[in-house]
Amino acid sequence: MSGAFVTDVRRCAEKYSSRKTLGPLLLDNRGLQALLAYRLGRYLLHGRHGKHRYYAWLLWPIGWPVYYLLSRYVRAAFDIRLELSADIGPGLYIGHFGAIRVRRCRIGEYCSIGRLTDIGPAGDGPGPVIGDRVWMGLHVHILGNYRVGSGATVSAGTVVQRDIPAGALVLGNPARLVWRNYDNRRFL
Amino acid sequence: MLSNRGLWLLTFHRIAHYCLRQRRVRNPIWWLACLGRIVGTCFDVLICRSGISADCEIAGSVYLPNGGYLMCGALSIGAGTVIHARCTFGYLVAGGDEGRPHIGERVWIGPDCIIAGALTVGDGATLLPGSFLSFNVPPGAVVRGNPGLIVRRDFDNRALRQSLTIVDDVASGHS
Repeated sequence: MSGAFVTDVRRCAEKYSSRKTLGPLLLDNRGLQALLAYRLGRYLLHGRHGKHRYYAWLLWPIGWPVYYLLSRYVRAAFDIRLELSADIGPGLYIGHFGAIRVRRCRIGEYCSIGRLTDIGPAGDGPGPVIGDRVWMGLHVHILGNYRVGSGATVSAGTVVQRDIPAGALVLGNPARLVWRNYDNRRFL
Repeated sequence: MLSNRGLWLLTFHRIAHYCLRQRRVRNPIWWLACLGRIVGTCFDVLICRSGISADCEIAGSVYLPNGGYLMCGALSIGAGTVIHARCTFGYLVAGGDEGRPHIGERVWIGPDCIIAGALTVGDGATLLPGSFLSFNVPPGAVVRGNPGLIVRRDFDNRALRQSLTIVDDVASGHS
């Protein structure tokens, strides 16, 4: 999980041309603070299966209180909720703060999410599965068991209510497919 | 009046705007304003979950939301405009940085609205809740939906602007 966080920081450093070190990036980008708490929690939760499985539990007495404080701080201050039930790949970029809720879903590598985004299951069912290098704008709602293909672009304000093929551009409420092969590398 | 968070937001924006405009002066008042700007940024982020770019020209008698979650990157906002919670102005939408909008006078902007791109919202326009705007709006028009659609041409939104407290109480419950 530390490797995933390093990828997050690298991704964030690519976005900010002037700030390259961890301290200024953490101060400037609130999403990175949320990701720090999330990656710590995931490490504590899943460390028992990984490389350090025989002694990962030694971190628990310190790790869980630190995780609790960090996640509570991020939630209270910036209202970013990355819950541990979400499976987020390395290199997530959270551009802004405010009312971001991600839970019980699977997100691939190098995705971006904006503010006021809600990703999760509708009710008790399974959550959405989102591929790699997906750009999700602000005010995006993906609620329910939908699949978003790799390289897709979910425009701002979209309410996804269908599966999205890979590389597509969708927008609107409810989501409409407007472009089949859309290149989002420019702003991802 | 002190418990009106939108008014605090506007006050701290004025301080930040003064800081930016008068940065050649460097007198004690300017340094005090810089201190106020830092306090204001903390207030905006921690209490209101909002952000207003310091170079935004906000005219007098603009109503900002108590519910917060406003991200305002507009270049100018005219007098008498009412803005509700969870709005975003000037953001990149599926295609990179598309510029920053100008918002006219007496515009009523409902909650959950997005205004994206370098565009002008005409005087007296009405943006219904949850609308997404990416084109110029003539004065007095009503816009709804995502993607945005002009549904009426000449609409007097004075009653909407005067009854803002109803919607705002609902918006404050969102946390």
